[in-house]
Parts: sequence; structure tokens; C-alpha cells
Amino acid sequence: MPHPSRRSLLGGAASLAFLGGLGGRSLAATSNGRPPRNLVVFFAYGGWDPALAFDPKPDVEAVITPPGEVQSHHGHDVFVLDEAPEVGTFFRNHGAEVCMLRGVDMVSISHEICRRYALTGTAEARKPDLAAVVANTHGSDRPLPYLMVSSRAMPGPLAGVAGWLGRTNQLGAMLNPDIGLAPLPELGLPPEEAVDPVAAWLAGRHERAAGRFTGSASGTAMWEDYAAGQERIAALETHRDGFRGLPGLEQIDNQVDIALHTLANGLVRTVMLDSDANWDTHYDNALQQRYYAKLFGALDRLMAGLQSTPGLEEDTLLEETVVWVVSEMGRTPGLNDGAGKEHLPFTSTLMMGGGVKGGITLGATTDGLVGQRVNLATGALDDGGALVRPDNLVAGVLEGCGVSAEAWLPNVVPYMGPFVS
Amino acid sequence: MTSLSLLWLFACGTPEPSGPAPGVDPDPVSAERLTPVEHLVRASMTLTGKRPSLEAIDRVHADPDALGELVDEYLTSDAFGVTVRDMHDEWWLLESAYGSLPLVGLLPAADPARMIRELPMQPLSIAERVVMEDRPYSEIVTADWTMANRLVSSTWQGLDEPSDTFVPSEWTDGRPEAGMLSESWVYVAYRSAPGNHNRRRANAISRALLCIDFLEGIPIPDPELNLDDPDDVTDAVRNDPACASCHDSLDPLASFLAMKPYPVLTEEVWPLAMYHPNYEGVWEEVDGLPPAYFGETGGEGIEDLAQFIIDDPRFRECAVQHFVSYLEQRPGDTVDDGRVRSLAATFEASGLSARQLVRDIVLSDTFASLTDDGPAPQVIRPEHLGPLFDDLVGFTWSHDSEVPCCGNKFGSEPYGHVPDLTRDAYVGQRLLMGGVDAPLVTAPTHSLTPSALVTLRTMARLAADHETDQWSRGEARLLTRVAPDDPTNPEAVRAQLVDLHKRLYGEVLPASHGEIDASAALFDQLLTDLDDPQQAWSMVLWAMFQDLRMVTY
Repeated sequence: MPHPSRRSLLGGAASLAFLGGLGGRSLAATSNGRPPRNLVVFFAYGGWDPALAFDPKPDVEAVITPPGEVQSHHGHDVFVLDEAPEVGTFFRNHGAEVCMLRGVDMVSISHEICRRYALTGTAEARKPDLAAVVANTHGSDRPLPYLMVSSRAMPGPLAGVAGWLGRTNQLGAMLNPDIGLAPLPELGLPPEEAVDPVAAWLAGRHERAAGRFTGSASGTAMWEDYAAGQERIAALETHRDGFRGLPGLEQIDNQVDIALHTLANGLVRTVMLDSDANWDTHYDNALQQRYYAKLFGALDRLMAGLQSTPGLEEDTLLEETVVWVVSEMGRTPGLNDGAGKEHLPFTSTLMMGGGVKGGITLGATTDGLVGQRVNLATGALDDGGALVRPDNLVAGVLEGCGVSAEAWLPNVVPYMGPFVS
Repeated sequence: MTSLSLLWLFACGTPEPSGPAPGVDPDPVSAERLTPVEHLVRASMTLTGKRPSLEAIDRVHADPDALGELVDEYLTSDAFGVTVRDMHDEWWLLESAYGSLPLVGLLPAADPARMIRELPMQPLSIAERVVMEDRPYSEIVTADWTMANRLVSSTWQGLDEPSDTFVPSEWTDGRPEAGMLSESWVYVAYRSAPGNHNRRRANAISRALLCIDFLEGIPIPDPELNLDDPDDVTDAVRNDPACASCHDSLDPLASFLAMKPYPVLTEEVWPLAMYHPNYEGVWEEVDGLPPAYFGETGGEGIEDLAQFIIDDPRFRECAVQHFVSYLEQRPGDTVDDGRVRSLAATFEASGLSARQLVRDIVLSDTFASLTDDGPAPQVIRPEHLGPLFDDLVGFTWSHDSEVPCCGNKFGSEPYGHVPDLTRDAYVGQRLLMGGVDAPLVTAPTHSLTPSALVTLRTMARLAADHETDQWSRGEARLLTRVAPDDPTNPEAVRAQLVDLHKRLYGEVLPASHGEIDASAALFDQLLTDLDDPQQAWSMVLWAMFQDLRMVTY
């Protein structure tokens, strides 16, 4: 039985019409100067210790670190642990593209609340994270606007544009039933002749069911989501090859490869990755050496990939993508009785990519790692300014991606310091 | 309507059947309320994850008053017992907590998948027994018994009577008897660093039983506070009004608890000890704050805590909020206060019968409303996808996974056998369908996400192939009207489609109805195009299993 390689659930005319709007190398490049419309969020759950990489305090006795040294690369002073030379390698290779932010006030010391703040800019449980917002704004031309690799993602009410990959790429397995990817038994693609009649029947049923759904706002939304979801399935199946053979998530580098592949092929607009480590090191803070080594090795791979891959809308993928590397909080300067460190609301974070100022460190902390006030428009230290908080950061990233932050975070001042004005 | 959906509808060029819309009885229907049969479908799917039987649909179609009797049947079914576990997991967040597994390697003869599946089932089975045996709901925190099977008996010290299935048992290590509050897994899933003095556990209990989540109101700490200094932190927690407003209540709640503080169990061997009498009164050593229940003193351990809880009106109102939230797929804090109070009064009058409470909710006008007063159309839960297709065609999606799991906690040991992938959050489809994955994904999505619809589409294929394969061997569950040796008989085809529309969607339609015409036309076209009756029927089922009316109810 022959199987279609670019067949969709839709009828032929619809497929062509829809695919004409999809991303892919055939897409005409967008005009230069437009804000990047892709976003990669790299989330490190648990609260990293900024002093071990981003915010060295070698002369402050109270700040306890494992052995390492301060290195300077492209305008950044970073602490390079003996056990994590990848930190130095990353800044040596890519520091010119990195905007490092110190002393960010994540507002709380509760993991869950901080995660919400960091990803949504609010403490509300049902707000969408910034990657969902960017995907919702720019992703109508992508089969899966928001790819959730990290289970820390919070798509909330924008779940209709988001899809989980699954730890073993279950999504790819289901889109490619012909190659027997686990956990799918040998199934094969549906017969080509059946696809259009089935799609037509489903569409007719959907249309005629409207009367039982559209009596309420939530019912109407559900009814529309179903149709939009079928559209997305059709698009995903057309691009099923793009999800074939993706690696599982056992290695952090695999996540990077998935992000590069799906962005480069126009499959997604936004991706949330996970550092795949629990940074909540109350018992043994030295564990973070290993985590930083893994994380910065992966970041090096990500940046190299973004720089070397031609973009769909700009010269390189990096130019059309904002990368934000964030943990939901920091850790105290000193060790507790268990050789671990407790939570601290102040932390550091990294931004790279299109429209982001490179080779610059913004913000600062005291010897106690407490954040200092800055001018939210420029990022310059300013006693009369404000502490940078997650709502400012999220709003800034949204603006940096060409999304009006006011619509999602009303009355929040976006932190534009990291972005080229 | 979105532009995408417009395109989809425009492009597909659908036939125009005559007669009422899908999902509607031929009888006059209200635009504001589910029909009795639609109400039956919603109740059956919500309580059991299964579509109602043809007989049940006929009964309600003939006599809408039969709905109550059928709901009573559902409430005593084994499938509802599983749903009870699922709903309690939604507010306790105990399942899939693979990050919480003790770091001591695998139990003999167990794989990671089984441990992840069965250990959380112990506390959840207490709730299941309380509800299914219609015991006072307060027993979830006062029961002087537990539930155990062979695996959990091998896991924890202080349990005996091993059995392959979960059966009533008792803790023999002297721990206080307080239902779910006595369960070791609860304290492993909610590990609490010594410096945090059981606060995380206390908050989990408060959130689950009182709907008070202290984290929701957490203030911004004073930037000048030295979080490195335990004395400074203790001083702030006690004396800074912003901190003390929560800690004055939370910390004394935590002082009731007496389990191993933070099980870093690398040195231990099975079975694990989570309780020791020495942990009682440990608050005197950690923060010196005696147990108290929102200002009320007079108790010591978890039995006293349980008594405070069940005497608290918030316990009943919280239970109502949770049950409504689960049964109507709406966030608990969006449930109308007046409705909560009214149902709580009825709940109390019933002797805290959770089964009666569920019955009241499911048979209420609100549950059956199609307006904004009612719940949104319900989306099939990932946990119900397995039971749904198992019931319809006898198919379950199982898998033996070779993937190492849990951050290499078990070395290269493969994840193991997963009997139902749709319930599994690690290698299965649970997250993709919008389910929870405590503690990472803490609330279900209830949305038709692309990954959810891809999952349904795949499951539909698997189930359709399974059914037509059975059919070819004379063992069909759904395709009972068409004979494998005469699969295209027009009258049999229509009779079959009438049955399918009724069974799958609750649509009670005559064979001449436009919807049957449309489905018959689909079969005819597939038969023509594929020239293979078995494949044609498989594709008809594939289509029907993906219908909007299968995904929502």
C-alpha cells in the first residue's frame, strides 16, 4: 500500500491552501529588521546558584563555592568551576552574543510560585507562559506553534497551540506509525484513499454539531478548538518526517537537537527545554557543578546550531530567535548544615539571539547576592530605578519577540535593557 | 470561528444530511440543557470513563427517570472506584511522582513502572474504599486501617498481609491511625527538608483537605533578610507580619506531623522505615512551635490533626469544591460559593456520604446545563481513554519500555511493563492528553491540544484495527450487525451504523436519518476506494472514534 508523504487530513485543495502558509525552507524570507518571532526558553528548575557561574564573588568570604576561577570573556566576568569548564567554553565561544542579567528579583522563595512568576510574569496558576503567548501570536504558520519538551511548561488557556513531545518522543511515534517507533506497535499509515473521506465526514459531523456547543462561550471555544486541532493534525501529518527519528530526552543535548531541528524546519515557533536536573540542592550544593557542566555544554551546542543554521526569515536561525535561560530563583551565599544552600529570591539569567544586546552584563548584586536597582529602559544601574522582577522580564521578552506585552501583562513595565532599542 | 476552522469546514465539502444535529434525539431538545440521553453519556463518561451501553441508552430514551437508577449503578461499579482514585490524585497529586521514589534501587521482582504505578495507589485506595463502601468521608483521615498489596508491603516497614491486590490491612509499627495522613507515600511524595520543618507536607494536607494553599498568598520577602541565617529566618517567620500571617498557621500545622523528615535513603534496604515513635514531638527540637490548628491548641499528633480537620466546616466545603471541580472539569476556585455551601449542607446531612454527594452533583441541573452556567463540554480524560476502548472493543495499549528512567536512579534498568500507556506519564500518553504528572504538571489541561488529538487519532486507529481483526474472527464487540461473510449487506450496514451512533455518541436515530445516510455514504465510498470490507469498516470506526462527540461529552 503506497503511503502519502505529504498527505494531510484535509482535502487536497485545503492541504495546498494550508500548506502554502506553513513554514519551511520554501517560505519567503521576512523583511530584515522585524523582531525575532521564535523563542527558546531553557528552564532550570530548582533554583541554581548564581555564584557558581554567573555572579562570581571570589573576594567575599561568605559566598561559598567549589574550586574554580574567575574568567573574563567578551565583557563578562564569570566563575568557571574546575568541574565545569564548559562554562568558560561557552562564554569564550558565545559571550559576544550573550546578555547576562544579574540580581533579578524572582519575588518569592517558593518553587511553584517562582516558576509561575518566571514563566508567566504573574503568580496566577492559570496564566499562559510566555512561550505559549509568543506561539499564539506568531505561530499560525507553524504546524505546532509551541513545542513543550519540558514538563515545566504552562500553556494554560493557550493549550490549543501547544503540544507535548513526550519523554520518548511519543508525539513523533504517533505521527509516524509506519516505522514502528516505540511505544507504537506496527500500525502503518492509514490507507491513502481513506484519508480524505474520513476528513470530510469528520468535518461534516463537526459542522452539524454546532448547535449543541455554541450555546456557551466555553462550548463555542471547544467546538472551535476541535476544528483548529484537526487543522494542526493535518499540518503535523504533512510534516511528519520532521518529527521522525527525534531522540528521546535522556540527554540534554537531545533536547537541543530537537529545538534546532523543529525551528529550522519551520515546525514550531517556540520551544521550552529543560535542564533535566533538579537544582534544588539543599543537601549537596556541589551537585550544581555537574548541572552547570551539562547545561553550558548544551547551551554551547544550541548557540552553535542557531548560528550555523540558515534562518527561514533572517540570515541565521539565531537572528530570528530569542533564547532565554532561566531558573526560578537563586541560592543563598553560604552553606547550611547539610552542605547545601537554601533558597534566595535573587538570581541571574541569560538572554541571547535576535535583537538581544551581546557581550554585556546588566545589573549587579551586593556581597550578599541581593539585587540592585536598575533603569528598566536601559538596564543601567540606577538607585532611583527598580528591581528587575519576573513580570518586567517576561514583558520584556514578549516585546523583544514582537508581542505587545500590555495585552498579556497590563501595566507592567517591560525590562528592555537586554534588547537593542 | 477561527480562520483555520473555517478553512477546514470549507475545504471538506461535507454532505448535508437531513434531520436533527448529531448527538440529538429526534425528540424536541432544549438549547440550554442536555437531553436525558446526553446527560446519561456525560454521567457515564465522567463516573466510569465508559460510554453507556445500548441498553442503558434505550432505558433513558424511553424513560428519562431511569437516569438516576443508572447513575446509582455507575456509582457502585469498579470503574467508578478507579475514578475515585483518580479524582483524589488530582487534588493530592501523588501519582507519577517518579522523582520521589526512594533512592535505594528496585524492589525484587519489580520494575520502575510498577513501583511508580502501585506505591501511590496505597493512599488513594483508602479514598476508594471509603467512597465505594459509602463510609463517612471523614474516614479518609480517621480510618484505623490501610490498604496494601504485595508490593507496598515489601516497600514499607510495618505492613503485613501481602496480597497481589489491594486489600484492607493495618500498620504494625505503632504509627497513629489517621487514614491517608498515616501513609508513608504521602510523606515521600511531599518530602520536606529539615530546615523547612514539614511545612511542605502541612501545606499539601491543607491544600487537599481544606482548599487552603499557603503558597498562593506568599509575600515578597524583605530583600534585606539574610536567608543564610536560620536565626534571622526564624525571627522573620515569627515577627515579620508579612511572613507571620501565613507561618502562624502553617508552622503549627506542620508540628502535628511525625514522619522521617527527608528520606535520602541511599543506605537503607527494603523495607523502608518512614515512621518511628521518636519522630513524635520532633517539633520541640526543630522550631519549638507546638501543634495548633489555626490557633486552636490541645492536640499532638496526626490523629488530633485529623479530628480538627473533620470538625472544620472548611473540610466539607473543600470536599464539595474538589468533587465539583473534578466532575465538571472546572477549577475549584471557580465553583459558585452558594452552590458549595448548599451542597456542603446536603453532604453533612447525608452523614458525609461522598457517593451521595457525587450523585447530587451529577444529577443536578447545573451538570446538565449547556449554557455558561454549566460546565464546559467535558473533554475525555487521559485516564479514561484506556477504559473507554477496553470497554468498547477490548483493546488496551500496553508497552514494555526499555527506556531507563528517573534520572538514572535505577541505573540502566528499563522502565518496564506499562499495562495502559494512556495512564502513564513517563513513556505513555498521559501528558500528551493533558493529564497531570505530579509534581511537574499539577493541573489537567481539559483542552483539545494538538498532542491530545494526535493521541486520540492514534488510539482510534489501534482500537479500530483491533475490532475489525476480532470481527474477522467472529469475536466482534461493536460490529455485531454485519456478518464477516456478508459485510456489505445494505440493511445490515445501516443497522450497524444505527447501533454505532447510539453506542458511541448516544444518538438515538432511525435508519433513515440523515446522519446514518452520511455514515453509510462514508462506508460506501471507503468500500469502493479500498475494495476491502474489513479495511472499510476499520476506517469507518477510525473516523467514528475521532468524532467530536467521542472526544467531548
